[in-house]
Amino acid sequence: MYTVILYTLAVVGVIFSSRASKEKTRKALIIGGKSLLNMLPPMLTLVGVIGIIMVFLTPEWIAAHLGKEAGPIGTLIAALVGAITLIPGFVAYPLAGSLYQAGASVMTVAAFITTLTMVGFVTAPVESQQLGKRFTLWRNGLSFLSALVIAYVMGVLLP
Amino acid sequence: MKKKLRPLLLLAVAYGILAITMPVEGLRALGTVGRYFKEVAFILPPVFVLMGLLDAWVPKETVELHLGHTSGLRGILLSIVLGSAAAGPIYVAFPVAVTLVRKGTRVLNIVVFLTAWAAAHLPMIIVEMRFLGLTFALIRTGLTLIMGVTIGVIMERMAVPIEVADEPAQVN
Repeated sequence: MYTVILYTLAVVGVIFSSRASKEKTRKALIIGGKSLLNMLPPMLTLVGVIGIIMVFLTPEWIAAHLGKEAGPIGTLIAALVGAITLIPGFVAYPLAGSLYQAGASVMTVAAFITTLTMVGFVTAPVESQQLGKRFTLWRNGLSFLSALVIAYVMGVLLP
Repeated sequence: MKKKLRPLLLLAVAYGILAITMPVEGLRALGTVGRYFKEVAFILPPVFVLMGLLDAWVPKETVELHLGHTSGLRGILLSIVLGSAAAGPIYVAFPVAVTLVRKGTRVLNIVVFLTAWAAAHLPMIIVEMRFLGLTFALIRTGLTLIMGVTIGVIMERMAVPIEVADEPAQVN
């Protein structure tokens, strides 16, 4: 569905653009193509790294290991697991819900969900190639610390 | 070019080791790679066509005015709206961010945009509400956005630069 919308937008965009200016459209497509080629190597790295990580950190593994409440260490491990995995939301939230039901604390669940969304270890090569190494390091580093703060605050607010 | 390919070479070695030591897991990893590769290969082409069009047609002044250094609170709010209204995996957000940077968006707003994209999608918040409750979802989203702004402010204070990969040939 998402892909269909994207393709429709792209096709309609190109049609309107080329009606307005053939020259500008040609340049736009060249820019797009070049940027796509540049993004390809880090993108392949991303896909390859996901393959290896997901062999070990399957949703089943996460459910089995993070479900038992293990105090601050458990929260930290949940934050690390969230940071290095890339799980789509429609899998992640049910998983987080089952962690909570299995006995994990709000703090642990919040740490997992927050690092999962805010920190991207596997997407770092792509982010770094697109926006620079320093930006990527700072953003992900600060996001990881923020996730711990958020998890702590949520643990206090929602006992 | 060689340096760019080094991680891919390392990965190939890792997959070789995996295939020899744990064939079952190796196959599963390859399956995952295939699935993700298909997803990526389908999504990226239209994204980059749209980025190219954005680059060619949206005037720099417009973006600079609304998301640049003098955009203030309105710029932050606009970044949140843009990030949470767009849908899709986070790796799609990076090329969009690159285009925004080229057009004069400040670092703070880029960070807020990426944070909102990753953590504040409306459809995802509804899923989150179902599995973790309304209070959890609202507090987490709110705190994440506040921290996103904080991170952006810190990064600007520390003068962390954005190094955009490839400056395209001058259009216009």
